[in-house]
Amino acid sequence: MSQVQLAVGLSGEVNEITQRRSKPQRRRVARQIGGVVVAIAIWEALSSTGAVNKEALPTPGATLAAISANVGSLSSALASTLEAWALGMLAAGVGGIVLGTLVGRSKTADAATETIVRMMRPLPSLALIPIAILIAGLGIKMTSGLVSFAAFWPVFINTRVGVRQVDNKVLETAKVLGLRGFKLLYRVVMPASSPMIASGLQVAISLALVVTVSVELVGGTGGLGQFILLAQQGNEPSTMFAGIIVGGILGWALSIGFARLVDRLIPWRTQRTEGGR
Amino acid sequence: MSDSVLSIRNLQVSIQSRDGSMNEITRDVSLELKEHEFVSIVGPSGSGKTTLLRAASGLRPPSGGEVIFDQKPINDVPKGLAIVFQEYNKSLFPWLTIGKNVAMGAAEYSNQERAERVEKALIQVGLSGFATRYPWELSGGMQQRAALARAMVSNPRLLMMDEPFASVDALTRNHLEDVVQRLWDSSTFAALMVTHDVGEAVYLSDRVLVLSARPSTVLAEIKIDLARPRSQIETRRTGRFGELVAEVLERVEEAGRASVGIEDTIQK
Repeated sequence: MSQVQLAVGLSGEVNEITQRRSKPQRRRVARQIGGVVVAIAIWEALSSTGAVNKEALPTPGATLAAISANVGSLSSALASTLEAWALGMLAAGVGGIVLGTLVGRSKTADAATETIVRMMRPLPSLALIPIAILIAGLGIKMTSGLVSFAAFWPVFINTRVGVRQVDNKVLETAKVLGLRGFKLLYRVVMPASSPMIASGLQVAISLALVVTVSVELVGGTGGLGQFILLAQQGNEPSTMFAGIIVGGILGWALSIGFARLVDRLIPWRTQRTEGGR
Repeated sequence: MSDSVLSIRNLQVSIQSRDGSMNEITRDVSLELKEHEFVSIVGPSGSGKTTLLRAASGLRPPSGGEVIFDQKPINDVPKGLAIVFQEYNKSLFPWLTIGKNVAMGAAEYSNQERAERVEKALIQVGLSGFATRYPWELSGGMQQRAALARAMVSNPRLLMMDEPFASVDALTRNHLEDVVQRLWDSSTFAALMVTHDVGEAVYLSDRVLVLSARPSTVLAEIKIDLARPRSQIETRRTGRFGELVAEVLERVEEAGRASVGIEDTIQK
């Protein structure tokens, strides 16, 4: 009876959960579309007035025509790029999260790896192409290998920092609840650091695509990079631009797709500061 | 065989400061907590109340003395001990619903029994119907109720609370105090609470210990002979309540003045 009264009295305490797709959100989407429209208009102005050499910058219309004329080869190039990207990301993601968690939990490992990490991280992946070719030959293995090398660092570093920064109260609570060892890692430490891990992955996703296309372009190992390279060699700027634009759209889709996924999986990421101290 | 749940014997805690020197926080604290007894620890700020509780619960090793829980010396947080912290927003896991958070306290039970216990604990704290909500969808007071439910769900022999209601507003605090009182009345656990709120300590406890400033010792022990069950309005209206609060407050003030005195001499 008193319990019921209590519960009724409490319902007013529940914070209102804002509705999804609220008005400001819709306005934001409209502005995003507006920005793209303006960019295309500037592009059109630059190329059609001849402000930039037409040979170097075809009009949006010509690019669109080139996209539709090359749908077949573009989609197979896209698939190939996506495959190399995905393999590289998978290795970087799993490796970065697992090693980052282990290193972040151990003060010894953290100190021991610090110098190597600082040395390896700024190495440009493209400089490693010759070595990668020697190891893996020319092909998707080489591309994915370099992609995973580049994408590993942001995931690893963010995971390490995230794991190290888990609040002591969170760890003490886990201890009181009897969580130790591996259980403590996957039930508390990893979820608690998931916002940091996610932002590392977000950076890695775009970086991995840059490296995929670059390696393809330099090494001629198929995919969108090679598509762009061949169009340039064939002196077809609009086809070249078709490849670039498709690559850009792929980058946008991967990035926004992941951001949406994170919003769904870690809804509390943005709610962290509410309530208490 | 003694009937004490927890016995703290000559506990001493020193913490290493950044320059490597040892900083003595707790000098010598002893305390016996009997079955189903409610004891509060108050003291001037900086008297190391939280440090004492952490050492007494096994969260940190003491530098000297020992802690016996259930006839056994502890060196880690023992089974049968539940703790509620002040920072409910950190101690509830935001990636789990309230129901799953509470269930974390009952990991050792079968699925079915766990579900039943979680439901019962949520009803006890007035949160039935909120199992599928997330902690960040609830107010601070409700989050702390959930933390209490998680502590209760394991059916502990001893509940420790570290400034449990310091982060909520005064009215919510009164409600939460009564939630704790009801839980305690209807169960058999012993409780050890650290608080800086003297009224709260008197209202809930059988005994109140006053710590001295750091390095702390037990300065006074005041028996609270108020009738139970207590009520926020009726109990607080009695003259005895006021006397007890004043008595505890006097000792806390004394301890606080002593520490100011020490600091003054150091500065001169």
